[in-house]
Order: sequence, then structure tokens, then C-alpha cells
Amino acid sequence: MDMSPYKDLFVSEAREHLQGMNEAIVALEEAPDDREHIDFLFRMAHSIKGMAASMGYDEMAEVSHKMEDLMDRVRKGTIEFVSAVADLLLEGSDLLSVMLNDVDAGGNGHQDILDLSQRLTGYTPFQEPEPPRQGAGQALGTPDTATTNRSAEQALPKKLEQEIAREKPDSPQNVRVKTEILDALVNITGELITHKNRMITLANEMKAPALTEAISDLSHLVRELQNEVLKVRLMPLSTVVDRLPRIVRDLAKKSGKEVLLQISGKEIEMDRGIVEELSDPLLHILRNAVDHGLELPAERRAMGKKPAGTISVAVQRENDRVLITISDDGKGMDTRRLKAAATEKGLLRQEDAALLSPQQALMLICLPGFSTATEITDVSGRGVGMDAVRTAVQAIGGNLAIDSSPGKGSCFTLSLPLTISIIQILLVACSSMIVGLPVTKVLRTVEIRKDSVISRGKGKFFRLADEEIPLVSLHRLLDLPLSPLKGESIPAVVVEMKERTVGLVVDRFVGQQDVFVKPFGSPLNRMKGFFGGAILGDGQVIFIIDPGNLL
Amino acid sequence: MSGRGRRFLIFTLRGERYAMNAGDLSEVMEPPPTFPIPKAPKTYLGIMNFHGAPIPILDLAAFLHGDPPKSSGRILILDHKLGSLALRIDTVERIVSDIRGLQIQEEEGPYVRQAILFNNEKIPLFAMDILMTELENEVRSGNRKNNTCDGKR
Repeated sequence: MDMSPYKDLFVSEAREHLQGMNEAIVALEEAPDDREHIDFLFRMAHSIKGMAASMGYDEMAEVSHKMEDLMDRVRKGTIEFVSAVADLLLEGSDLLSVMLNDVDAGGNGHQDILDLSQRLTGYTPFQEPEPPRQGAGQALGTPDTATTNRSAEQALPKKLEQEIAREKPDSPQNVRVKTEILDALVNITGELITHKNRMITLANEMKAPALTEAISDLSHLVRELQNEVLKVRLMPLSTVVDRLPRIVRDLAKKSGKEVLLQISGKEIEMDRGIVEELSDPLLHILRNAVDHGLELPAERRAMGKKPAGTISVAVQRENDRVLITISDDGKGMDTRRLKAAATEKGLLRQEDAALLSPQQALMLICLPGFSTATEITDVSGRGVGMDAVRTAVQAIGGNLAIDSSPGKGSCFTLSLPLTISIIQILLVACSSMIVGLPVTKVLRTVEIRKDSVISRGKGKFFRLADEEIPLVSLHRLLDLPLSPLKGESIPAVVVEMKERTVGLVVDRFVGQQDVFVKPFGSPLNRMKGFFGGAILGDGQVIFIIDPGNLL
Repeated sequence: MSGRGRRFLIFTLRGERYAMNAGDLSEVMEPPPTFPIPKAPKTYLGIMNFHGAPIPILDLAAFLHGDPPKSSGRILILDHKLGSLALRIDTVERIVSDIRGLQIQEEEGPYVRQAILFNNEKIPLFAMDILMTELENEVRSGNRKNNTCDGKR
């Protein structure tokens, strides 16, 4: 029978099971007597074995079978769930993952499984725990426990079978929907908004009040539809965050550190496009925390700290943004050392280093080519990481802030929008071009009187509150010809560009609008400094600027 | 090697014939209104609104030969699996549907790996992947030697 139509479903379900297994294994290591996790692990291994066997992936079935057998011994109390058992099961899970990826890519999932299979079957702990009662294992009464593991499949206790049967993939409350359909829904909703805007423009031109009213009603409905559709695209952060305990555990082992990972708020949902992009940045910050942030247990004890370092990942909603905070109680960062390292590497001039505020100095670690690690470990320290993290965070419309106290620890805060696709923008005119700036990136707009512009050498500044803010011509940044400034005042948009506050000088403000941002495909996706394009109500195509990345 | 079962679009540029895989083509249209692209080389005509998607239009003659871009001719919208790009060319001649087996041979040229033998003529087959990579590199390096495309022709 041709199983290929079922392949996608098999891969997606098996991946979910493996992820669940990883979480359960790490949790069981902390609490080895947790009955629920033990049964869950056994069930997961059993499920994967069954699915793989029916799909004809014999090696996968074999590995999961061995894992199921090992968990069966734990279930029966013949062995304890210790670190060595966790290691074996994680190895098995990783091997299954490799085979699954191969299947997903069109292969047959072949891998050399002999070595791991033997180790799984042959596992013996250093000390066998006393079996509950001698001979009780045999005398449990049900015929299946007396049979060998090989035929355990045929004679599962009825209760376990029922439990497995209850694990149906979809209850009536939830549906699996292909992501292509979700994306299509978002696209269509976006088009509706564009056309709604167009109708508003036309209605205003025609000065027909009844029409304007009808369109206003339509607007409300479109907005409601947009909200519901965007909810459909929402995904809880747990899909990314749940992988973290396993990874942190591996990192800690590799670096000889002891780590306690605390996670909160992972049930918070965000647009799937954003969640998908968060995985790498979060991982890198965590790697840094384990590798460079936390001290070795002996060092910590010497300082009066608990030998195990604490890393906490906290997710919170704040209005229409989500804050993800990653903090550790490690050695923190010394801003003087950071400034010294940056000037040494030629990334910063001495006189500029002196002007940096503590917050700005901490952001130096995001400069490309920066790393104070004296040796490059294979885990992190390459100096590429934080630059990529900041770029990735800004590309999804977010901001990164760093706080740190030497000796006490560091705290990384990612401030992210809930959705990426439909945003409010400020429209400005620059020569013959109209461009948009996301309102979330605009600190404020100003009209500066010509006679209050301050000139210092080649630079021009203006005063805002107690600060002198540099003026930068948006025309120059976009390679547009400068237009002579008409009128008494200079319009400028105050934004953050690479940790400096600047005033972007434009020709005039055009207005504010909701638009559907379309990220560019190749080749314009390689352009730095733009979130994408958008279509205005009158059919014009405009570019949406990312001030943080526009050089 | 035969091109059995494939379809090719044959178009002209500066009086010369070229071919491309019909599967790489999404639509052919007359030149639409375009809008300026900030910081893009002058080889781009501008950016257009293609059914709600912003797609830049590259003038192929300007790109290959340095001609000044023009807004006449035809616009080839490339399939979205290649990226988001359209090409301005002069005329679209025909779509060749290969049933009996077109001859395809190796051929060296800029952005060309093969040529099709059709009506006793060797027509270079555009390798779109090479073109896309080149365009990406150009955009990534922020080619400032050319002035900004201002979308006006």
C-alpha cells in the first residue's frame, strides 16, 4: 500500500511526540518519581513505534521499540530513572529526529542503529535497586508481564491500550489547518483593508455621505475579520520555549556549569511569523548566558552564591507588545571592559567611548566583530551572534535592551509586536517619494524652526527637552536629491537609529494609515533598512522603512 | 538531450531572441504604472503593484547592455518561487511546447547555460537562478555607483 500521502501527517505527529518526549525526559530528571511523565514517555515511545512500523520505517520502529522497553523497566520499577537513562533516551530521540528529517526530505530514514539499540537493551545501572518484593515481578498476575519484551506488543494491559486509544490527534474543539490556508486568509484580509482604504478615498472625493456611512460600517466588519484572522495566526510561545530546557541541559553539561532554568508566560500567543523568527535569537542569548554569563559552581560557591546558576525566561504582554526577558544571576558585564574591548578592536574611537551611557555601552556587544571571549568555544563566543540577534529582533519589528550589574547578572529584554503584517505607519514625503515609518518606531514628529537649528562643524542638531539631537537627512539615506527647504519650519521624525536618537528630516508629513506590510522576495529582500512594501489606498506602492537598520 | 515535455517562452530583446522556461513565468503584461525604488540601481524601471504585491521591474536590456531603461515592450512577471521580480523585454514571440523533443545543448554565455535549437536557430536559454543570485548580490552590496531609480520614464 502506498503510504506517501500519509507521510506528512506521520512526520508532523512524530515530531510532536518527540518534542513531548524531550520535555518529559528533562522534567523526569528533576522529579524521577513522577508517574504521569513515566507513563507519558512510555506511551510516546509506543506510539512512534506503531506509526513508524505501519509506515514501513523499520529502523525508526526498532529504536522506539528499544526506548519503549527501557521505559517499561522504569515503569515497573526494575530500574530508576537516573541521568544515564535520560541520556540514553535523549540519544534515541535525537536519532529518531535525524531519521525523521530524512523521511521528511524524501529519504527512507536509514541510519545505523545497531550501537544505540544495543546500549538501550543492555543498560544496567551501577546498583540495581532492590526489587519491591522478590518474585513480585513475576507474580503480578497478568499474563503479559511474564512474557518477553518482544511479545509485549501483542499483550498490552487493557488499561494501557485504552489510554493509547484516547490519544486521538484531534478532538472536535481543535482542527489542524495547513499553514498555506492561514497565510491565504491573512493575504485576503490584507487585500480587503487595501481596498477598503481605496473606497474611503473615493467616497471622500465623491462627497456622498450615504456611501461614506456604508463604507464606515464595512470598515468595522473588515477590522473585526482582521482581528479574528490574526488570532488564527497566533501561536503560543511554548512551541519555541519548550525546547529550551533540553538545550540548556545539554549546554550546561558541556560547559560544566549547573543551571536552573525558570520559564514563565510561555502560554502567551504571538503571530506565528514572529514566533518562528524568535527561536535562533533566544537560543543565542541563552547560550551566552550559560557560556559567558554563569560562573562555574566552584567559583559561585567562593562568592557566596548557590552553585547552580539561575536563568529565567519570562514572557509578558504589555498593551500591544510582548516582552521577553532573559535574565541570569551570573557575573554580569563590566561596561569599562566592554568599551576597552571595542576600542581595542577598532570598532569604537576612544573619545566616542567616553560619551556612551551605560545602556549604550552594553549594546556594544551587538557590534559586528565584537567578542570579549578569550577563547572561541564551539558553543558561542564567535562575535557574530549578538549582531545577528539584534538584526533578527529588529527585522520582526522588535527592540533589544540590555541591562547588567557586574557580579550580579545580566538581563536581556526583547520588546516585540504581537503581529507583523498589518501595522500603522506614518507617511512622509521625500523628493518624489512617499515612504512609510511604522508608528511604533517613531518617537515623535517635530517641526523645527529654521533659526533654532544648531550647527556644529559638519553636523546639524536641534534641541529636544534637554538633549541635542542630530539631524539626518532622509533624502541622503535614500540616495535622493535634496529638495530646498521651503517655509519657516523643518519637518523631522524623531527615531532611534543604532542606539542614537536622531531627527530624520523629510519634506513634509503626509498622514497616518493602516497598511498591510508585504515583505519582499528576492532580490529586494536583500535590501537593508526596509520592512517591506505596502500598497496605499490610491494604488501607490511605497516602502516601509526600518530606521534601526537604515544606514 | 531533449527538452521533452517542457515549455519555453521565446522573447526578443534588442532584436535578439532569448528563451526561458515557461514554468518560471507567472504572467505577461503591458508595462504598468511604476513607483520609485529607494537606493536601487538605474537598471530597474521601478516597482509595480501586481495584484497587491509589490514587484520590482528590471529592464533586462539595461541590465545586460547598459541601455537606458524604457517603459515600452512587455513585462514578464516571474514565478513567485524564484522571488518577487519582473523583467522588461521588447516582444513576446511565442511559447514553444515541446512534444516531439526539442534539441537542447550546452552553451556558454552570461546568465546562459544551454541553448534551444528551434527553426534552425540556436536560442540562448536564460538561467534565471544565475540572474537572481547576481541581482541579490547587487542589492546586498548597495550598489551606489548608479543613481537611484526614480521610477519616472
